[in-house]
Amino acid sequence: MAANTFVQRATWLMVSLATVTLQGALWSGQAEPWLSIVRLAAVGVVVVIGGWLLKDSRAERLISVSAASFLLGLFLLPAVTEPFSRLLLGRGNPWEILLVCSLRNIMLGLAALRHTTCQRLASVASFFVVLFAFLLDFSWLTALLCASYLVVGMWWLIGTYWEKVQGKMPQTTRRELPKRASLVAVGTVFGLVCLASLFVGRGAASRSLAGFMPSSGGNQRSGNYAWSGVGDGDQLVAAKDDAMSFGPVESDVFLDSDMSSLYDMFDEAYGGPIKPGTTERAIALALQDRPNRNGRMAVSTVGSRDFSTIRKKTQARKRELEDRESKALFYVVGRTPLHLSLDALDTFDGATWTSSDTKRFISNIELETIHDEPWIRLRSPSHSLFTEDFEPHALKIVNLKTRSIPSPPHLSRVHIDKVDRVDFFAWNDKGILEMSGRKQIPRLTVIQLRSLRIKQNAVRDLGDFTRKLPPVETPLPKDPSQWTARERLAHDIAPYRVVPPDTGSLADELGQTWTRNVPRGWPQVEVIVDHLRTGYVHDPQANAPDDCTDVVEHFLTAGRGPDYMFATSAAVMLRKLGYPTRLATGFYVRPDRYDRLARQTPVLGEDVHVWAEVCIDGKHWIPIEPTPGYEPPSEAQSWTQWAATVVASLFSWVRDHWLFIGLGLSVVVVSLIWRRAFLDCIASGTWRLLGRGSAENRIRWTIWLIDRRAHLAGNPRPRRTTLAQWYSRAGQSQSAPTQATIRSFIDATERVLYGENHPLEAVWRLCELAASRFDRRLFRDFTTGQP
Amino acid sequence: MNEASVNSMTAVAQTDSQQASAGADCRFQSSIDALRRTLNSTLRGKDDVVELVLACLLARGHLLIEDLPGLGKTTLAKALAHAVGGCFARVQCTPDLLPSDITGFNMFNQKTREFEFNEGPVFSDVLLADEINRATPRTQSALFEAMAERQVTIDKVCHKLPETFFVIATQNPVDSHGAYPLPEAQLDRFAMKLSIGYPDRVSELQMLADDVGAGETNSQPGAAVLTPDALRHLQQHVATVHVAESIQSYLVDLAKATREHRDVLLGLSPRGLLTWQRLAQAEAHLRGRDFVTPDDVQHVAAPVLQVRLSGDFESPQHVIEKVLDQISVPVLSN
Repeated sequence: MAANTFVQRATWLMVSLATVTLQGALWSGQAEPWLSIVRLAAVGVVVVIGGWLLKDSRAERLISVSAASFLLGLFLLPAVTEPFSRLLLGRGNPWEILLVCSLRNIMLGLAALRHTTCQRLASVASFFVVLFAFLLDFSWLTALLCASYLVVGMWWLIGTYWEKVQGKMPQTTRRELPKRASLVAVGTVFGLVCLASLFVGRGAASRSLAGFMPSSGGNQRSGNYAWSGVGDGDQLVAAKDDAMSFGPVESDVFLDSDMSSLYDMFDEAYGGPIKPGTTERAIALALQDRPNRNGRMAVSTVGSRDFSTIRKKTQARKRELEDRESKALFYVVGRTPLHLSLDALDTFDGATWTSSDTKRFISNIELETIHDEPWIRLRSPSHSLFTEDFEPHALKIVNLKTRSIPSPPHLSRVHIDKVDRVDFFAWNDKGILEMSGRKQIPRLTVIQLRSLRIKQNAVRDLGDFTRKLPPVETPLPKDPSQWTARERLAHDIAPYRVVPPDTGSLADELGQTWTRNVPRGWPQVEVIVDHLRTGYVHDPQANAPDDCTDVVEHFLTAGRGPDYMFATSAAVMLRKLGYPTRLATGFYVRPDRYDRLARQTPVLGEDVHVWAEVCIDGKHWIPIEPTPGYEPPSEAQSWTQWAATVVASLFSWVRDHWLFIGLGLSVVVVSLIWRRAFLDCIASGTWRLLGRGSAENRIRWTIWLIDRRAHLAGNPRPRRTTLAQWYSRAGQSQSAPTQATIRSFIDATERVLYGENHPLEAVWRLCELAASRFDRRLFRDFTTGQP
Repeated sequence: MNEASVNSMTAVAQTDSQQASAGADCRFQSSIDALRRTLNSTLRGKDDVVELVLACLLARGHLLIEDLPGLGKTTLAKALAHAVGGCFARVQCTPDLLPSDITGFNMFNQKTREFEFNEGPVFSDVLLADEINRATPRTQSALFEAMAERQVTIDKVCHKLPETFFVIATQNPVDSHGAYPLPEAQLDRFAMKLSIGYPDRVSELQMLADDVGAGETNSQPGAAVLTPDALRHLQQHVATVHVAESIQSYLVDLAKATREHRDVLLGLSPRGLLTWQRLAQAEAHLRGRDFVTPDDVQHVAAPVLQVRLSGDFESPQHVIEKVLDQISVPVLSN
């Protein structure tokens, strides 16, 4: 018996919710879910077409051969496509995920079959799909979808079984203790508890359930496509690879020798700096002016820290098999993309950035307790430029050899477990927080960070913030202890305003041109950044010539270069316009490296990056990203800004893919307009293909074809209307010979369907006639009425 | 495909179809047609009622007519009895009617000094029981035993009734004074319940015109078109009309739907289901086919179900329509 409309609709709602919940859980955190989307879309198309082709068989019988084949095909689809996905795309899923996808497909297939039992089976399957999704992903969205599913499920149950419940409602009730039911309930619970205690024992359930998900990394085997495991893996190195775990684990993999320094990484990424050999003029010193050679010369053990923009070309490394997976320097949990700075450079001579020895006060470092945990407070969000809330991140240091803490912009608070001493931390001269008194941050340290979020609109509204800064030529007393606050500020920011003396005029010209008619202040900064992002090409191999003395001139002329040239050019151009700017080096945490399984982003050696920062008030540095391909640092956006950003992104995406979108839309529009014609062609083709063999088979497929056409015409045959009634009514407007044909066809169909003596060969021609006469237009032109 | 080729193909197809469709046995067709003409001439403008009466006759069922007086119930019964060449008997049911008035009784013959059995009205080919709901339940049950068993037992002696014994019972829907409504179990013994209804204007005018100058001569019964024996053979032939499995499933689904309908207290019984199938066979035969189609089932649905459904509804027609709407016609299932 076909399911009534309510059951069908409720079932489809439950099935849809289950599908959405499962897909959300499977895609959670996935950077490129396009493959899953394509697979799901393919399944959807198969289900729709299959359900439409099987429309009649589902009403009378529970499962026909064709329906069973349809369901079996859906069940096997994930397993059949998996080898191709692994082989060709290098992407795969563990077998448990494939099984749940098969269950999802079965669920969709059953929902497409209208028989009552199939609808109920689809509902049951949807429950298990939702259950699996909930166990897979505990996010709030999944919980919300599960709650919605439960509501719909209850509604479905009540609606489906209401008549039976209503019929069985008691006329009277009698108060009585249900002894038997109580006994069964208590016994069941007791039995389950005993069973659980037997298997679980005193250990955690997860450890006891050995091999629960065998192909997802149980305690026996491991798999390349496993999502997670129960028990131990090949190495007890969970602490190494999971940013949120903490604790020293003894293992011989933890060697210091393979850790790279930051400069090693820069050399590897950008090529080693070229130190031009120079011969400098020298003056012979008079004997009395020579230094006391007998004294021991102080040797500076602190090496000079510089960043040269003239570097050797790097060759694209051939990636050997063992290099397939680079070692992560550290892991980041939290929002990406993210700029983490480790160094800041202020002096540029046209080719090389260096740091001056200017000592600056950044802010006090204080200790505070939050939820019984020690936090180091660096700055408070008292400035109107920042929002009240913090943005959290966590870092897990693994292979990074530095004592500087990779800091997001506007770092406000830092927490390392058990570290409750302020003197463990200090600002270095560049304004970067570091662990003082140490050579490097201990390995496996987990650092919790809280940073402020800047309101970009507030920055834009500042106007010309350079007016509030002291003039460049501010005279300073010789004794620093006598400096006023303004004089100190002038001193602190002086290196960031110095324009390289030998730089060419192109930077100046372009800066003036780009900022013409743009109000001073942050809008000018944005204009400079936008022009660099859109007008120049990021080419890591386009190094400056070895003898280049003005990298900015070279870059602006060549129109391409690596990220440090973009940052350098932005800094120089902004300094020429009077904005204090510095070069920042560190890491760019890439969103496409996000590991959805571990919910963290590894930062590798090749993620080193260079950008620029602009100071707006002598204390707050706002990062800018002039290099195309790198996302700008995030800003706190209002709803309208967010919406505008979304619209702009969408518009940009559409503009970049206009051809693909245009073709796709055209196909969709044409398909929608001509969908009935397409489906009619498919049905006719099916009739010709399958309506062969016996005359009986021919007639059955002809009946099927005519029914499909009536359905496409929006005039499906009502359930109680017989073929004779339907065809007679359809042919009323036709000519007499056609009506006679229809009458003969009716007789032949009735004989095939209900009689013993089946028609002769003439039925073939009769079916051809009927197929040609009973087209969609015929059914569109008459009204249904009562039989 | 041009008109000429369509015509030629249609002609060929029709010939083939007709040759294949040797549904009605030709030797009975003329008799049925004659029977139909006779009844139509008696009951003007009621072709559909006549068809159902014929179907009931061919299905060996009994007929209950619920209608107002003067609509031709007796005339129809008489014409039918005479058409099948049988004996016609009429019983006017009243509250004082005894069972023996219907079945007959043994009477002592003084001359032969033996008990002689005097047959009652049931020993006829067509019995018209007028206003059956006015007879007492005891009398009613005597008649129903005869209807069901086609025999009566009197003083432990079993008297067989003719195989073609056919009862037309009537009841007045308006007059309920002194009436004994038939219980559901008794109603189930009737194959169908009909309502003749008033004739249309044209038929009434024709009736009046025919009656002018008619006199008594036209009240004489017409010639029989069938013998009782032929009728028996015909009934046996109708019982062999093919019923496909899908049609039987359809019937069962419909019966189940009547039982599960929320307004119906008493749905279709298995006996009623059998009756429905026989009537569908008869209907198929009357239409010239040797197999039953869903149209036949639907055509006799109302008369079959009206007499059997009981529950909380004003008119069973609404329930019957809902039941038919609920169940899909078998099309591509086998």
